[in-house]
Amino acid sequence: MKISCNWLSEYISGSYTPEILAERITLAGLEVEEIIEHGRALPGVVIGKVLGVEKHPDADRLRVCMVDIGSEVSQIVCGAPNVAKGQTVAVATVGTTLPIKDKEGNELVLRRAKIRGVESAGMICAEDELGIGDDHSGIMILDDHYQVGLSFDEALNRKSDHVLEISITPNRPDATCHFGVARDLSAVFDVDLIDPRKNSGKTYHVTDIHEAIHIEIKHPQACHRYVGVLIKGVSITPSPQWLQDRIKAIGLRPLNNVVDATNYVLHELGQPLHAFDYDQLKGKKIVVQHYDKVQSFKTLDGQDRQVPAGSLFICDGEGPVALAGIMGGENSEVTDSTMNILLESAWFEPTGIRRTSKQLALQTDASYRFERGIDPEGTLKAAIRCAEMIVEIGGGEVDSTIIDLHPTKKESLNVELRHQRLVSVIGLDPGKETIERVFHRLGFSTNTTENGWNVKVPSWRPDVEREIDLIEEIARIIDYNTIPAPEQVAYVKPASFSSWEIFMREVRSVVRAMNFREIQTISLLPDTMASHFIDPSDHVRTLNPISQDQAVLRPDLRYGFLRTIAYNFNRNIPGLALFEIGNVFQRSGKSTWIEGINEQVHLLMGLAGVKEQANWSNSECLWSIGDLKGRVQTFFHRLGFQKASIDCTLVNDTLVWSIQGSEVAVLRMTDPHLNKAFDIKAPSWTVEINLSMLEPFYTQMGTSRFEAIPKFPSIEYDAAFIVDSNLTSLILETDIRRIAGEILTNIYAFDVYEGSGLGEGKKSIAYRMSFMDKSKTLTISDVDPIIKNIVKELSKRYGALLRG
Amino acid sequence: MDVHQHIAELTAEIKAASLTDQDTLEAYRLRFLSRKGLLQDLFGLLGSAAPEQRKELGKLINDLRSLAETTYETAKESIESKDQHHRNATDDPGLSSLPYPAGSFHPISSVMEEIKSAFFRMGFTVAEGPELEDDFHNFTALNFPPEHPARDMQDTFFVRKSTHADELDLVLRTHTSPVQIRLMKQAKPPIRAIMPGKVYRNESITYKSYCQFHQVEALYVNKGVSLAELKETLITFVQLLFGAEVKYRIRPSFFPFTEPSLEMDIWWEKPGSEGRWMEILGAGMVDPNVFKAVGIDPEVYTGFALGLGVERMALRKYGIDDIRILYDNDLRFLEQFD
Repeated sequence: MKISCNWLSEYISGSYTPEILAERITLAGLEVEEIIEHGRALPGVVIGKVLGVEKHPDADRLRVCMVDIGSEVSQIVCGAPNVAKGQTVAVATVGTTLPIKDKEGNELVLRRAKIRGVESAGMICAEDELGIGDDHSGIMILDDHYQVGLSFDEALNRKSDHVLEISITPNRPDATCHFGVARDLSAVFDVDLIDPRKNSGKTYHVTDIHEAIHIEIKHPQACHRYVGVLIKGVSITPSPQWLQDRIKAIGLRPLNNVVDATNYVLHELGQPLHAFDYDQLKGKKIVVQHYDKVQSFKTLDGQDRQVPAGSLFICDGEGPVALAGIMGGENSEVTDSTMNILLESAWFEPTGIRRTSKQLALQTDASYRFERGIDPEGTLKAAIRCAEMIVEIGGGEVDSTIIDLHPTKKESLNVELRHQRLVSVIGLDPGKETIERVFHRLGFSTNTTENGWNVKVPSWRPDVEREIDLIEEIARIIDYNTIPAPEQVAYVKPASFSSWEIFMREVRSVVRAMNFREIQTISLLPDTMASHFIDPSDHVRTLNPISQDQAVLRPDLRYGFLRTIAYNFNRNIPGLALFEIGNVFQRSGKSTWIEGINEQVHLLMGLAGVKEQANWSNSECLWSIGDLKGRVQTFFHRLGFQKASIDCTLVNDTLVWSIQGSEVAVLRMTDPHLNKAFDIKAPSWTVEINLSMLEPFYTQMGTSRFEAIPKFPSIEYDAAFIVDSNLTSLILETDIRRIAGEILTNIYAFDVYEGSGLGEGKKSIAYRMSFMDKSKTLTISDVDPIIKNIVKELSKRYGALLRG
Repeated sequence: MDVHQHIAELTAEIKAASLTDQDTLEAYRLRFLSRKGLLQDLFGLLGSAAPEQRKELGKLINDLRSLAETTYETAKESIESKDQHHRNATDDPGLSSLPYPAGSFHPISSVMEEIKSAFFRMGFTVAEGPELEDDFHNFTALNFPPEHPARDMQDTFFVRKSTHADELDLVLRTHTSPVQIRLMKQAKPPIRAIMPGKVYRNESITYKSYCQFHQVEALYVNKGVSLAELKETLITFVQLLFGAEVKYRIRPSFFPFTEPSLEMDIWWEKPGSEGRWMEILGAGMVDPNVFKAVGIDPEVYTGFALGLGVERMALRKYGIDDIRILYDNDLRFLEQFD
């Protein structure tokens, strides 16, 4: 919201620099995001008269103008389409600095120049070039009565201004106008607030019946109050300069005196107002109502809108003339020929306005205020203020009978405030006097009670309902930064870390130690991609994503990994070892936190492409499934899991690790169809570990204990078996372990061979086995019978042959 | 020939010998030190020398032998060590090498851990909750009235609770505050914990906004917790993170779940540009309505809550000007955080 400092100064005594205003109002809770200089002094810009216009000899769009600037007649090349002989214009003379940026980002300084070969001394300015508006459609054409040669600032009686861009939090409807901001400042500076709603001396008859207009509220819950003022005999003209300046300063475009006056009062008092062309109102009737069906309605911005059922309308005798609280209709708007006006000042219920505004995606200055809740006691005063202003600048007369329907009244609120409670919440006692002073400056009235005060909340502060809200008012005005540090800060015995936190720290450190690099990827993915990973019926879908790229919550972590490797392969990164920890979501499986949703924390480790580039000592080496499998084993081992406690099985080309029947990890080679979908050409492997599942097992295990270092050396034994090609080594290894028992401490395949000499459909796997006994040094004769037993068993089960 | 002159000549020859490789070394050994070498000859001469000269001559010859042997050993050592160094062409330390592929943490995680450890030093523990939440925990219990403009502050992703269309929608949590609700429902004060985690906003992805980011929130509930104590905690926190000299300010703000509410700015000077205030966290005293929603008596207990965005801190800390870079995971970016 834009607040003009000049405008603001009308309501508070004293003078303050824009910087001081910005700082103090920010520290009181109205955050100033930017200070914008508006309409700053323009030395060197003078009033000029265009004496002649000729075409530029070498450029179709340019004109060569002779301009009288008082001291001389200048030749100026001008590109504006609307320049014409006889116009009174604003001329920036040579040497003038204008508030627009040149190519280097510096402010433009006008110099004598040749434009396409023609001398040009100065510039005829458009509004935006002078920093007084954003019109760049053509040069600014001034009224002819300005004296040629006079400085622009002097001729137009211009004052420079600073505009504060304030970010208003949703709890402060009262601060959405200049008077409201001034009220906070009057409390901050402890100075008087000057109310612009002075008594004009005119008296009005306020009633609910008027012979010239019948007003009816059909839904008093949606429209608590409706004030209608008739103004007769108005001339619609452009607003006077001072009003136009105000309107422009806050970023609006002046339209005509009536509309500008309603906008002015809206930004002054926060009460949205609407002016109807009285003569366009059919049946001389206003009905506030909603419809059960969608209504087609043309708002005054010329848009045909389909307004949802239940939205509140202002109707005349025939149908809707305004979308209540949001925008007027084209059928009743004020035009140049309007003579009589019905001015509306109402109080509409916030949630209804908000709903319609959201449904139509139409937010206006009016709806912005109504949906926050305006002052229900301010409607009549604002209507009179605006009506009198219209008459002052547009002529005519305010009808002395004003209609004020107020079917739903809100009782004013009294809230108890305990002095001691205030002190204990803030941690500081500002003192009775300060507390009362702040309240009075903000418009709260107080009655002293035994423990503190009974505080009457003003009608413009719907956000203040409780004791804590009153405490906040005091705290924010005295400035949080002045609250002293407490003498003592409580010590709270720290709770021990949760088992989850301990587990996660260990997991992260183990994965990091294995030289994986962490990635963080997006948790949402497009539909088309999600179907690659799980069945669409298990998808957890977002209902309203801004982009369809965010339609489904990730079912596992592979999408992010594949996206990352594709991204990096495209940038000539040959290989990656990555991990990610994140939550994954499915509908199937057991519900975790929320009924029907299976949300788990997963760890993904993935290897892709080149493990080691070709170099002078080794040739290029790709990551293999063994690299990842080995890391998974190290992962479990480092966390303290014994080999025997984890089962590893092969299910359709994926390796699955489980503990006590719970699947905790799945290792996969990336499918060809996924590689195609992500345009990946190198092989990759991923293992996905379900940390949510693993953690209880880890925590159960407790601290792993020191294991004595073996006293006796182990003995190695190599044996190669010829088996069917389709038999997985996993089965052989598992069986060998089982047959040999605890004496076998390690086994790994050191060679795999397929080819001539073995026969069709056969392969040979050579294992190195380590045997160890805790009580003696083993010899070959201890191991031989075990090997024989293994050979016998494997031969029986799988037809395995010991290779000679 | 005079023996003395002969010894002098040999001494000079030994001193001048240039023994640079195995061949010259072997030739030297044969000439001087072998069984048939010149020194052996000299010792032979000793027998025929006059007895009164023998002692003096013996010393001279022994000195010469000592010189010859030392020269030989020194040269031998030097030649052998040279040979060792040049055994293979691949032993060249000048050969280029591949960098060791180290692991690393993502900068978001690193900053997250930094923030967590600052709170750990102040005695906070950790609480966890789901990313997919229900309306009660994410909004209602946190004093967001339905249809209130406060809900506009956070663009929300909604998720159907079940395939039955009439069930209330779930939301991707817009802040980690629902974890506060879960914690307060289950634990008794005093409560002192942080809630780190991922949150979501239904916003377009641009250089300054992303549809997901990370937050750390902190909650302290006890008897007699005041705004002054919150302020002190915030100051301690920013000083732990940014150093004791950090310049800060605290200004009132609005959050539905705290009252009074505030935001803290720190003064940020980017090299080469003017300094300005940058908002780094939001905080406030826990609203009595929130306490009521979780069954804590607001007359007995007060508390404060605060929250900050991790990405925003990471961008600031590392001088990154586009949030999307954090989620691209370009290896050349990640490598900078080894």
